[in-house]
Amino acid sequence: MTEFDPAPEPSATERRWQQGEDTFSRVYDVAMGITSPIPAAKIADIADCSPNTAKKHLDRLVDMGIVSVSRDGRPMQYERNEGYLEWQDASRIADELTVEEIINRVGELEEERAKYEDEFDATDPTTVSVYDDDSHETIHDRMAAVSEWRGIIRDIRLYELARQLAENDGHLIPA
Amino acid sequence: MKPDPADSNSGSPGPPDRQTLQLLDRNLRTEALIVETEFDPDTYEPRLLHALVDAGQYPETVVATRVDIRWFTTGDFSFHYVETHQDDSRWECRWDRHPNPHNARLHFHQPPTAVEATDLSLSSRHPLDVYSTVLDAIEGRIQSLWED
Repeated sequence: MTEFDPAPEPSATERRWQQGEDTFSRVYDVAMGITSPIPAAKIADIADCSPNTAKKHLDRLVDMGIVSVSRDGRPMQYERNEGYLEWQDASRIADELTVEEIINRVGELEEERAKYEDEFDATDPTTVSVYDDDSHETIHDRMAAVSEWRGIIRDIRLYELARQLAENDGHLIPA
Repeated sequence: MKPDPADSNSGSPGPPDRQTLQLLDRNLRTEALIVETEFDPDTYEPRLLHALVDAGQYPETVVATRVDIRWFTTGDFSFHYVETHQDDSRWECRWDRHPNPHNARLHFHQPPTAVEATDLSLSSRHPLDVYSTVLDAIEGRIQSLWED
């Protein structure tokens, strides 16, 4: 058997995720996967379009509030707008779950959080040592656990926002 | 300031990256190779994304295959590919990025057991490019199984 290649060269010029997608969708998708600010030219590289086209679509996404731009540096740097996307996630939860379901779920998450606090004998997951262990497997397990723990703390806040939205009929501020 | 996990083995993994996991889910659902995707624990709290690979595209000795995906807000990730065979044996491997004292931050756990790790290099670490590379590699694996 031929040896398994974990990083084969793509056989087509288009990466598989790009197939059947128009330029705007590609720029949008690339922006959604970006967690730290990068220039339009780099986004264009990944989305396989010209820098000018990427910039045009990114500026539209900025107008829509989905992407944020920092104008301090040259060139301008783009990244997804976490605040907007969190609000969108909270809105969907508020829309699809009842206030009671949200409160119950927060109760379950608080219990999960308490379990992690016991397991690692700490209240702040960022103080736990994760990567120093000799066993690679242990590092994986600890990494997944500490990440979930941090996710739980964040999701409790997300559900709190969702509860406020649900109680105010979808509005952030009571009418 | 917190220490940068890119520079040392201290620091902490970020929480699951909700937006990236949702993005990967949307894209994976358009793949002919993937029959089903599922979030663990659910779509409201995406922590782990399971993608079920179409076992019908494999020789009949392979009964089930899946990819388990984690993506962290720190840009680290784990793509764990698992094949289950008729004789209950597993063939698995893992594309990983995280700090550790043994390998490069970006590394690959070799099949068939996914224990031994070797350094890995990718032209792009964007989640869409990483998932494309992983699926290309799985297609290569399916092809070599048929040629056996």
